[in-house]
Amino acid sequence: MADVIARHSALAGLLEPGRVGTGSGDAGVTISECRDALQLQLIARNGQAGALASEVKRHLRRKQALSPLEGAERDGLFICATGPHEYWAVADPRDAAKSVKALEKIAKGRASIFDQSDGRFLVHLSGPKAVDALAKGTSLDLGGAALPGECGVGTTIEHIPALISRRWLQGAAMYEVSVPRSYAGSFMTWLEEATREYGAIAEGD
Amino acid sequence: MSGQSNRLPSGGLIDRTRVISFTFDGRTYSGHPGDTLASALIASGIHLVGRSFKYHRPRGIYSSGSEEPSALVTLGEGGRTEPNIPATMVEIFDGLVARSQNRWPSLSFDLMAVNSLLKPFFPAGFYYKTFMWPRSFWYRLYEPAIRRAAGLGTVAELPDPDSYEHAHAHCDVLIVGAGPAGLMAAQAAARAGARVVLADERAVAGGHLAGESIEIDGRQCADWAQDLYAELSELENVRLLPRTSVFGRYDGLTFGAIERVSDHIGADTPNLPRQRRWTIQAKQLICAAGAIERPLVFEGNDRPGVMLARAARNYLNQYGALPGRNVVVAANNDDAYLTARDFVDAGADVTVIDGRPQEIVTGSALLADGVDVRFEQCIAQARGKMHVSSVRLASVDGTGESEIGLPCDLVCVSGGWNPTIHLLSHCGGRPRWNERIASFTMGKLENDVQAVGGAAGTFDLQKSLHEGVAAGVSAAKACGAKPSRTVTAPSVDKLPSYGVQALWRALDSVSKSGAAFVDFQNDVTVADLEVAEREGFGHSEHAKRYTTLGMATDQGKLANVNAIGILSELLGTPIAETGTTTYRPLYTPAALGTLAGQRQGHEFRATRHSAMHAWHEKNGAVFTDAGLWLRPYYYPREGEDFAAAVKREVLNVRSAVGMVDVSTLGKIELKGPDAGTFLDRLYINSFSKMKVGRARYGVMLREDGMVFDDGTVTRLAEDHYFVTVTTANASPVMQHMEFCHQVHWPELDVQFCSVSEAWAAMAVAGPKARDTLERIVQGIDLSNEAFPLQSVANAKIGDAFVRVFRISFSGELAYELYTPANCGLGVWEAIMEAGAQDGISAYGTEAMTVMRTEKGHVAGPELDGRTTADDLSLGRMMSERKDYIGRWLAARSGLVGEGRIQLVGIKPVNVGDRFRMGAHLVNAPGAIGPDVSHGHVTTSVYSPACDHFIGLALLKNGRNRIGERIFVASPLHQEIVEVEVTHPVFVDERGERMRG
Repeated sequence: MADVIARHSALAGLLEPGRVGTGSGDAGVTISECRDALQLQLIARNGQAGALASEVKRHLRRKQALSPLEGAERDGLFICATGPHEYWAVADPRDAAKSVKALEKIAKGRASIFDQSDGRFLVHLSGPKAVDALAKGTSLDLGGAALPGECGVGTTIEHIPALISRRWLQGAAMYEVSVPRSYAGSFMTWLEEATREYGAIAEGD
Repeated sequence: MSGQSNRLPSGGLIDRTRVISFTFDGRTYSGHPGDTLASALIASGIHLVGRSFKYHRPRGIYSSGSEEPSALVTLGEGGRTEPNIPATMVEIFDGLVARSQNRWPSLSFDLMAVNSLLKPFFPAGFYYKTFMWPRSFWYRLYEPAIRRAAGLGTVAELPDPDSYEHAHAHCDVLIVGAGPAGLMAAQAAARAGARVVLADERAVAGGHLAGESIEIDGRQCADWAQDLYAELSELENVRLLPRTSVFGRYDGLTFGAIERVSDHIGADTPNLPRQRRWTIQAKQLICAAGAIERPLVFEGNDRPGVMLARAARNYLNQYGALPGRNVVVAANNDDAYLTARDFVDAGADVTVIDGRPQEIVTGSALLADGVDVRFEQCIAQARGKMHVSSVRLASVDGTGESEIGLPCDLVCVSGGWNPTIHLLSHCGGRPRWNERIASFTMGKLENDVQAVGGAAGTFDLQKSLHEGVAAGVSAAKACGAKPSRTVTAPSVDKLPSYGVQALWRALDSVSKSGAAFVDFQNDVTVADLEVAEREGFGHSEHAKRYTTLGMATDQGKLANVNAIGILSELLGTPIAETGTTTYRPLYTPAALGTLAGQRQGHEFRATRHSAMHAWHEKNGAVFTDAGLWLRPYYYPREGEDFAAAVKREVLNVRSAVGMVDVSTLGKIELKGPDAGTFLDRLYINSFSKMKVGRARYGVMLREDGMVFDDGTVTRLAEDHYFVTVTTANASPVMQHMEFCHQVHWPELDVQFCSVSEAWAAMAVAGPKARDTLERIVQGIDLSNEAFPLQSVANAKIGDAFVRVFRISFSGELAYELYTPANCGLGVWEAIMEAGAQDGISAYGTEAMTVMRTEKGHVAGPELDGRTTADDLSLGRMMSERKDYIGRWLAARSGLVGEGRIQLVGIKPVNVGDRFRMGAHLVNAPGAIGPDVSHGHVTTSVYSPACDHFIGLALLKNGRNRIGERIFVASPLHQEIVEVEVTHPVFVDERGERMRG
């Protein structure tokens, strides 16, 4: 028996590097998988919602606590307020240990942490047509002022449950889509169809 | 290839540098980019385009928009065949294939035109009266014959190869219609900073301006419109949706729209959907949908060559196509004089027939001296066979001499204009009669809805432009925008006033001939309306249903108002009292594929795969649906059928070891000091006292006392539990828990969430299960003493974390292993490798069902929402020392005591017999009826262990009837099987195997 058990991303065989759809000119959408990212759910303990909000604010070095759906990042750890007394945290795999430590500090006595990393895959969508592609699956108004600048919101994409986070990277919006892994096949079929019109570049190994 | 004999040498918005070839009825024609099929056919001299629905009368091109009732064609070939498409809305492309429809053997020689001769025998409602006897002939003879004789095109019977999609758009202001008012509204709203969506069903912006020869701000109006549209396209806060029909308004300001994304390009567009259905959420609606010209009703008004006046002008100006050279313009308003003027300018001979007295006419001033204009006259009859050749005139009041035979090859008619108010009435608004414009407009609109231009009954171009500006500004302000730049409407040529005077029908002769059409698409005539009125169906809502008026694919866009006017005359009541029909979505027909969007074939709904799905596929699993999940049903080997494969899988587990994927189970983690208390209140049995590292079967009731779900509860730490629930109830149980926490017990300090996706799970079962696992599981002692039934421990397989549970659903020595989902496939393969020497094989859900049935374990068929815990022999688990959801209602009379159905086993008296799930249990073989059933079979399987069929059943007082012989009856299949009632456990009643 092998000492090392192979890890299989939910997107194995589903997201191959290359171009999808319209083949000339700049791609409208860039797609990449964020492998091995930590995805953690924080739920406040009874009576600790305020303390948790303060601790999240302190960690993010913000003046104001996160408002509903609002998110912010510090040192590779993105935290957003996804529901009453609930937060969703995504940590860059390169900073995983540090992020876990930070989250444990935030949660201590104030929240329970649930690890969803293996249960969901993360896809990054960027490019000038990323919002248009997402609009083919979700009814959220991602292009307007309805959502905070950086945000995370639970929704469905073509009836597939998803959590979409909008983050700003070098002045441009990047959409991080977290989807339960069992839906990987259906989601990628949808995504390929949704981006085909604009031309998409799939990045990967 | 046929030439473009009617194409003017210059003019129009077509690209004359390129030539496009297409076919119509197998013959090749040419046109230019910018042409519609209708304009290209007109330019090629083709006027006969279709046959009418009922009488197969020759029909031509009547309009230039989506209201077209006559020129309906079938497009495409094979799976791409699409019938009933208005030629007026089809943009031509190289290779376009179009065919006329509803004719045999050909368009010009249609034998079914005999229906026209039989017209006197086919009045409205004839089939209600005529084909009543014998009754059985309706389905066998009458209806099939009628359907063959009447109809539209034929749908494709092959799968549609095109793709479709849905999309969502949000905006502050939705503007429907990119005509002059809509364009101005868009500019004003956009410059004020509002997010604007501007949708128009046409490819070219400008609405009717695209086909006019008038000036705006000193430029040709079409150029002005194009420039403004180009400006809007540059604005980030504007989304332009050309070729998009906003087909309906739904709750609030939610709109449905269909964009024809690639219809105009042709079939070879693999990267584009054919059409896209938009759901548009707006804060403000500006309806600038314009107006639709009304036909005039006279005998023969459906002849090819009779055309709406503005449509004719449109073909002339937008497409450079001349529909006729000897033109009669018949009208009751001044707008038609623009048509007369433009045709005169194009070199045609024009005669104007105006139903109004000369003193109120202003449009005639547009015409040069010498143009023949006749006042207070109308067309009584259009003559010709396949094309109009002359018209007979009459005085508008039906008196006096009529003129015989005014030769012509084109009749342009204008009976006034109907505001396009469909969208405005979709949410319950009722149109009101507006005497000023002799048509219907909407009454008071909601605060967030405005109508401008033609849609509001404003037929003055300058005024429409002003209305557009005002509406755009006010809509933007209502959305919080602060206009900083002033938008002013441009100035336009002085045009004649509208000056309409209603003219519902030519009184001379129409009743006699019966061929004066009101609804062209459904072949409804004035005579039909007269029949309806005579028979008491004179109200517009009744007449519509009696005659089918307005019920065709054009929804009566051209017909309804004329019909109401005629009914008003017949009834002798004012129009306002005659009633009007209201409009419903869809404004224009939609392809079913567009409504389905991406959800076709396998993508009809999302599917869920476990982490081991690739292995199952590779090893030939046949899958079954379990909700959205695809689960391995069985794994057939060469030469095996379903039964053989399942039997082998079961026997392998019973004799060696097997593994099944149970990742689909719902999994919920609970944390917090009150987690145990929370579970005690949810389940009928207790968990707060359970030791850490132990697992226990649990049952959950609904509030009404019926069993809700079952599964295992494991205590991982003092304040940490892990719960599994059935695949089907994964979401409902989670919702139930959230409800209970939020509503019933918010004081409990417990946090929980679904972790169903985070864990891959597999059950390893069989007498050799321990041997297999001992080879690879590290960190725990799997011996019976160290790890007895209901134990839980963390371990490793290779470097992968696994949580091992000693629990059994099959009744064998069994372990369930949970590992992080990314490790699922690797762990599964490692176990398969380790178990090879034990003869391990995978088994599917059917083998699992067989084994749980042999063991008497209940599952979905028994937990059907109608059973109590006691019915299922789980009553002893119901704690009497604590309160829990469903406890008290489970004890109500009716759910306890005599007469309840109870879980039993059944086996056939004759071992070769089999019985069905769902079949009734009866006392006697002949017992049939609603009151004779004593219960039903919940599960029926072939048991390899027993070598005959066995079943679980819910039988009245079943536990007291063990050993009794009863009958399983399936009247539907005419089956009766004698069975013996048994204890529900067929294999290892004492549970020695799973404790082994």
